[in-house]
Amino acid sequence: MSSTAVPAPESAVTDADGHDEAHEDHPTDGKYIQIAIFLAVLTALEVATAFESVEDLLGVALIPSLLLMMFVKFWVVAMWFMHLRFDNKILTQLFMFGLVLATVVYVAALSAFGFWF
Amino acid sequence: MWVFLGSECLLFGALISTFLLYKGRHAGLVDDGTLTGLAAIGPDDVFDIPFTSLSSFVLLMSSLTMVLAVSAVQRGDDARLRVWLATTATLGSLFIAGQVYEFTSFVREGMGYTTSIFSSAFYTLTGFHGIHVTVGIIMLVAMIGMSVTGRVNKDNAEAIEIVGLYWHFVDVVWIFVFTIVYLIP
Repeated sequence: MSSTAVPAPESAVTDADGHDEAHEDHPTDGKYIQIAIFLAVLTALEVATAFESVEDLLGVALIPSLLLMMFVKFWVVAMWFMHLRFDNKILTQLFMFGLVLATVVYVAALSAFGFWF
Repeated sequence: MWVFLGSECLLFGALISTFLLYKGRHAGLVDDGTLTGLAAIGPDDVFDIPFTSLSSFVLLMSSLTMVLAVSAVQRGDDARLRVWLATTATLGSLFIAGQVYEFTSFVREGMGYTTSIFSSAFYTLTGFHGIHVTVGIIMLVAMIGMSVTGRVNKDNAEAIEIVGLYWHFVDVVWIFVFTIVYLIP
């Protein structure tokens, strides 16, 4: 999927809103529809794990599989629909800072409450 | 906007962590304040995965229509911009209608906000998300109005882009909530 994307040129100029001049390189509407179909398929796979037979088939791999699909969906929406792939890297860093901080803080909090044991 | 969304990660992180901590605490309280035991209603008793999956699909597709609205305003296609914004608002409203139906059926089955710690954590998390979706719908309707009056167009497309970012973020949060709350056993 990403192989057809046109990356922002190194020399792209950034405006006051943090958008690169590579804005013109945003995907076409057709590409967005392809991405949405990919997300819908992933959602269908996630829902399939709720069936007992699939749950039994996956066994201990069930939760890692669900988490992996969740992160792939998050990443695709953030990079393509939220345009992080095409915007200034500082915007990605700002968002990821909040996300990583939240993850670290709450994993620590859950550990303090003995959630994992 | 990105700083705001980063801070929203902390808010929803707190709500999701609280839900995880109390997911198994669905022993109910009776009138004298004592625990009724683990027979009280838990997630396996009330969750309707096919219905929630449909709601999730609707919200996911609203992200598509939102990005098509952003694409339309960048092209200067105001007519399509309004169509896609209205479609996004409609899909968001469908999601909220589904959530209202879900909450109503849970309450009818005996799981109220104060029934157990699990139910309080569940309603707080999903309710906060629902409020965010509702705020997004209000912003979308405002954008349609601004587009009709000519205050939003190709020259100041940033307003649509910012509303789009907020909408996608709401979708991203649901991606996490759907998996963690509904699908992970």
